[in-house]
Amino acid sequence: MAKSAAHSNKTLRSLCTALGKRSVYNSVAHCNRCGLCAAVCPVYAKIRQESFSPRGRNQALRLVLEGKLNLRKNKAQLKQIAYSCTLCGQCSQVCPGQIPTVQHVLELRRRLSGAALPSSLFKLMRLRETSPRLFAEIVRGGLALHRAKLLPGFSWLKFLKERLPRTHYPAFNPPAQQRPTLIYLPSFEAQFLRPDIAQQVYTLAAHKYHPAVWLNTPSGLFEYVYGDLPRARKLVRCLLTRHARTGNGKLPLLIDSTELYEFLQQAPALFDGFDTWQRKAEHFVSCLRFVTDLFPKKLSAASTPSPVLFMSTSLLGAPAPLVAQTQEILHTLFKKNFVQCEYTSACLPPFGYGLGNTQAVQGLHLSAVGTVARHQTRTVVVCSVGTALEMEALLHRFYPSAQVRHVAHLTDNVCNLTTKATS
Amino acid sequence: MKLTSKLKRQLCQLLGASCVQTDETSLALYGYDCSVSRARPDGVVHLQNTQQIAPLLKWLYAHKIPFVAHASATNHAGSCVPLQGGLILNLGALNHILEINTREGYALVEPGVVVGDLQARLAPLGFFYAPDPASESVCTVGGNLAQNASGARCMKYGATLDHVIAVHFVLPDGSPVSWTHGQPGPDMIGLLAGSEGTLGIITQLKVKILPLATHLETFLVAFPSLQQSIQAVSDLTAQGVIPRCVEAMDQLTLQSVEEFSHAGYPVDVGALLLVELDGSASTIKKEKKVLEQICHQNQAQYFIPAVSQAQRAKLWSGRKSAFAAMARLAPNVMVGDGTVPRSALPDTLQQVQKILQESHLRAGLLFHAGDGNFHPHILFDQRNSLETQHAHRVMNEILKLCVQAGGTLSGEHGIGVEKRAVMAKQYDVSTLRAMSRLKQLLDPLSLANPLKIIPHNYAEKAAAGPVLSNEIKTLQTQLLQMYPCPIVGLNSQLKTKEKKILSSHSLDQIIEIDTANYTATVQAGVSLTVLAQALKKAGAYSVLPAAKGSVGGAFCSGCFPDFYAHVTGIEALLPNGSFIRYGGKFTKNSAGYHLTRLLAGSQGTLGLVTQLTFRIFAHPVDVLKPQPFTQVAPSSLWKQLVEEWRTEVAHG
Repeated sequence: MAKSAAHSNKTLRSLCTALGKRSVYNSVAHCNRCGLCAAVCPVYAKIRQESFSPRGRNQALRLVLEGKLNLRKNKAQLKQIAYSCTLCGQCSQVCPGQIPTVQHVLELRRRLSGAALPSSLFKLMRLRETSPRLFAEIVRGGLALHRAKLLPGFSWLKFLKERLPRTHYPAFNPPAQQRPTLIYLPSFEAQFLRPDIAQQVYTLAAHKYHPAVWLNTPSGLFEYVYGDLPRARKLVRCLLTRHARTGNGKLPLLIDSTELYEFLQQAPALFDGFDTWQRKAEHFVSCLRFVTDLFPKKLSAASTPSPVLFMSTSLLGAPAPLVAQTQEILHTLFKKNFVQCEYTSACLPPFGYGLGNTQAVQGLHLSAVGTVARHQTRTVVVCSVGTALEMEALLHRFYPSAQVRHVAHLTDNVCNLTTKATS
Repeated sequence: MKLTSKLKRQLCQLLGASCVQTDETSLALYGYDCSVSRARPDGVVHLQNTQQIAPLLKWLYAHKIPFVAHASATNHAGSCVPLQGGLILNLGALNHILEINTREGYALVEPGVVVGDLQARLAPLGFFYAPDPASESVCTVGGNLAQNASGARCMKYGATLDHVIAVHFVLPDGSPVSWTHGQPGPDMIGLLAGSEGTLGIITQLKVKILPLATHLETFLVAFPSLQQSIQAVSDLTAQGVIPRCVEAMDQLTLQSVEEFSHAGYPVDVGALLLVELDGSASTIKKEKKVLEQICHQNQAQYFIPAVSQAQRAKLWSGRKSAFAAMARLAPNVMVGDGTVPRSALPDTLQQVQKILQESHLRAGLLFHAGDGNFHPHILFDQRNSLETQHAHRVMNEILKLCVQAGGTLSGEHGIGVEKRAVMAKQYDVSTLRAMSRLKQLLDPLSLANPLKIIPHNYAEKAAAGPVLSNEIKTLQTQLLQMYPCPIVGLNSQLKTKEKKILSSHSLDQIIEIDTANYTATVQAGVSLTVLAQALKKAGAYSVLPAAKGSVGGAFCSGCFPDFYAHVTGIEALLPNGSFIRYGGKFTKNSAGYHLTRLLAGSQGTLGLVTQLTFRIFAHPVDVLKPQPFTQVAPSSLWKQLVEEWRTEVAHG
């Protein structure tokens, strides 16, 4: 009991599953080990070991909860299990009981709190809130050290060196707006690494909702993914407050990346047991909009000589309605040239969220590039800025004839919306 | 046994340190499969290539360490659970498709190849691999052979065993062997079907691939009662129409499935059939007409053909989501796979429904109507031990019912540990002893997946066996007196200098020609000409020609290797005089070692086949052409088997 009290703040009381609200143990006990999830797990496809399968991850958490696996004694192995998951969520899609494996993996990470990353990195991430400029400078310094081989690289860090020096914060800093009609919350990647995408989204938003306001607030996604639930809650609370205080508190909130959208959709679950905040979070969720909502309803077909490939890969799993919406847009725009690729062959490690297993990372990268090459496409469309960054770096290295376009970039194909908005 | 640090060090030297895991977490994650059973191994070995298997097994044999093969571990019977600890051999990474030969119609694969991946590779080439277990997206080809798995297409295309051409295999002592279907002598591949990894490790398989059907049509047919739906399937078979799939659901299941998947199933009906026909356009047109006529004769309430690919997918989505619909209702689903002769299906299902109702457990019922195989899905929560025990009890009752109805405990999932005790209800002591000796011969130290399939104390629990007729008793006495002696049929071409010859000519009774199940049961000495006449009289046909010789001879001589797949049941006298019975009038069987195939082509060396049950047809079929008789000198393994079964009398 003492243990559970200590964990009470660090772990979730219940999970919102497809079968309703359940305690974590009840949710994980619903896995009947049929193993169908393994068929779509991109990491298991490369490594073929039970510890790297969704079933194995669920069973590991179950054994921990049942006290059959000691968390302290088996920390190294459990850490490997918890941090080898790309959190893509495909397993839940095929699971007969729709077991929320991603939620279970996050729960395991929370119970291994502090084990994943050095606390200095958490402190560094906090600088995003207090001093974004300093944060950008430190990341640049880190890259210099990495180049000098004085800093061991995370799988994703090396990709930054191509991007960050050119696009460091704040490349795009829109003026403050009076009486805004929309809030744009850029993802971390759009904020610091690809402000061109942020600008594109902002311009697109400004065309429909004028004026739009830019919200430079950390979302808490990083902390949520790395098991620091109290901090994630705190950041989401800040976000809810900022949203409530901007305009009439009912402004639509525009998101540019599927993972951020999915994370914010889960905001009410973070405040289970905190009724006031949960109500606020529910209202907040009702205001969320994705960048595809900005597209006009009537689209005319665009001409393209080569196939256009859509990769829906994303951290926490791209929500099905958003994927369907993007697919519809792409289908209307590119007709027969639009290709939807299979998830397992195009799942990327979550950019910036360090998938620990290098064997799997390399395999996933090669699969993704292989898929692009197989379809002989020149355009890869993604709906997450993180995915755009990772894919761009890969294509630059292995398949330079193809380029990555965030879904917001498709506005160039729709009409001259961008020009109109700018003028 | 515990894997000591010295042994672990040796193992690491043998395979590489990265391939060996002994940490508590890994051990905990390799102690389960899709069943309720759990046990802790002592180590996990991740094999990287097939060359590692033979030396590893040799090493394990030298140190007497038990091992269990493990790939996707999706079976429902606890076959992958390491009951005696030891090593888990993870074959998941042996997933290479080595060759696809569309001209000769085969694929060469490693055991860990996922069936779905193989299908995905074959589809663009216009081919497919016929076995289609429901878990094909994740289960492996090697695992399928070890369980003799099948699926919805089994009625037309048969189980995994019928699609394996050759196998490379490593025996538990580390000696590699290669077996090919149709090679002179016993059909050893048959031994592996349903062996559940208890005889060694499969290292490579050559499987048949077939051209994709050019045309495919799907129909949803609803009936007022379950009996009428089954009658329709029997009538359809009687008309010579063998659908690609005939899947069925009772009212309870179809209501829950429709509620969950909205596939467009009518819910105000007693039973539902999902029928799929394949072949050329003209064949389908003819078969469709027959199907429609038969369905109306059996008072079908709805006859809905899928007019588009989308509608076909929608109709199938309901059937495919049946497991999901049940899986959401409770943390655990116990899936049975009892199989009965098709004609016994309606009565059996009625009794099963009664058992389920009386048990107060929530359960659904799905079945492959074409082959009498049904899947009760019993819902329970494993955390409630009383409920779990109750679920096991109910499932055992259902399985016993199947046996009483002339069926088998397992049509496609295997026995593992969970159905092991009920094996004593299906087989008598001598048959179980024969299986046990077989295991002992190939695995004398009982290292390969120990404690599976054969029940403990079977000698006390199993029935004593049937009362033998006088003619069998006479043959039994002669066999005991004369063995080793050549055993001959009516047209034996065996060249022998022995003066004492045992003949099956006295076994000349045609026991039954069953046109409800389309099986014939005859004694081994029945001449092929007499059989053909009897079948003609009954309006049935078989693949055997009306030639010289006996049915037993056709089976044992090795001249008709394609006949083996048609034989569903066998009775025989073994060299030690014990009488065994395996199989029956049901089309698929995964319960125990496939003794039928072992006696096929054995040329009388392994015993005297006294009776055979085999498939017959309502319409003329292509008759098999006999291959020239080759008298083979038994291989060493074959000789050992003869010796094992012969000397067993001393122990027995």
